[in-house]
Amino acid sequence: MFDEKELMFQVKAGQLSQLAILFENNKVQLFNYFIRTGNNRSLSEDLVQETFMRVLAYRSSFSGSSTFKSWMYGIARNTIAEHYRKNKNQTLNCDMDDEELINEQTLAEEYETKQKNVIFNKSLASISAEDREIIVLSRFQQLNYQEISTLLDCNLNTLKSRMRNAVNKLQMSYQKLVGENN
Amino acid sequence: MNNQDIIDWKIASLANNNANELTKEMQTYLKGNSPLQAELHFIEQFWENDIKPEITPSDKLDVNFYQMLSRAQSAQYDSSAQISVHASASEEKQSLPLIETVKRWLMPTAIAQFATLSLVFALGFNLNQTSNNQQNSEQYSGLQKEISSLTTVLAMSMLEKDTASERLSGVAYSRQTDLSDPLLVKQLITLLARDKSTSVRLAIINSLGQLSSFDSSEQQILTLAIKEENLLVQMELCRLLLNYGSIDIKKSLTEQANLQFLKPEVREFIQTQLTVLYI
Repeated sequence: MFDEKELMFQVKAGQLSQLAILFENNKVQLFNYFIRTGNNRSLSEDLVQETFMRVLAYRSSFSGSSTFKSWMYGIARNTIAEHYRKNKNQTLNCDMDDEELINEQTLAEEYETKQKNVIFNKSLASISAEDREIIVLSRFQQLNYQEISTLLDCNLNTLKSRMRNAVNKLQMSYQKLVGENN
Repeated sequence: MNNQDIIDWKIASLANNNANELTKEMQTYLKGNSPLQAELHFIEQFWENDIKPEITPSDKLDVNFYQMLSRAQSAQYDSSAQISVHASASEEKQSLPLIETVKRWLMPTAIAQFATLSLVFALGFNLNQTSNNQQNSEQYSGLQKEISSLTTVLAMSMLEKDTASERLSGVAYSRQTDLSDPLLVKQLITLLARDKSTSVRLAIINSLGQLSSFDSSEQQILTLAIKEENLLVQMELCRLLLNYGSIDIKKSLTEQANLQFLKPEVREFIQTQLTVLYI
């Protein structure tokens, strides 16, 4: 396992080739982060590219006070924000909610699981971007509370409270969708 | 103790932020609270189900990233080569003890540098002093040849150094010659095949683009490109062959790409380059 912080320090010192290792380690997760926060495939790829361009451009500002992941996701968030600021008319697309619910009632377990997962995804897409982001960072990007609180610039207790609210809204949305589907 | 404490504990433990077991007090509280149990069950399902498997981005992302990195490295090389040639010598001088400085003066590299500078001075001085044009031009070309051969010696000496920055300086010196010395070209290609530093290898590839003709070396470069493990270097080797290689070598490269001996990103890169060339 690579020490990402050390690699980023090497990039900062001028060994630009080390950025390739950081890119290979993080590209899939980062790409999925953009997808899960409501961007389409093509835009998500552009955003990954843009994020790594900024990692390179801002390398001298990496201080190591947070993990590389937390710093990188901070850049990723700014990249998205700037993109939507420049393209005000563009709305968040959801590849997340374009899956069709299976209407046929079946007892087969795999269909039940699939159906449940589709509803999970739909409920995740239905909550606000802020709530979704906290859940995505923790559940899918596997950042710990410390990293997320640094990234969102809030203290741990506030983060816990925001997480609780987000999960609560997710559950309400899930129950609503289950009710509609039944 | 309330519902929120237990929900906090559940989320934290699922998100690997808490390794603590559920306390007895919490267990008792949970036992008689079925809505809370249902809530925890939902959270658990959401966290543990494989809701949406990760999607892999396309190869285009890799190609774009490695092109961006290559451009950044080239830009870095251009500036660092200049800095290391012109500035590092004076910085090092300050930190070395007197005896080391004297020793360095007597090293072949320093002598070659001094000789080169003297010849450049002599060249300028003679051009300004002599009135006879023909004699002028003979002296000029003679001195130019000597400068070029001394720079070649200097480049070859630097290319053998241990540190990547010194070898980069060697590549920079080699670019000041017309690369007409086959020994220098051979040394550059040998270094290209085995150097540990990607920056040095990329700098060499850039320099080889200055060769008036690399007919004799292109087969060797093609072999290097096929065997290359580093995606970035492989891509740059292919770019070199496509931009400066003969028609035959371009054909061989395309065949290698078709036979899938090259990385998928590089195959796509070759395809794009060929399309641009034909347009």
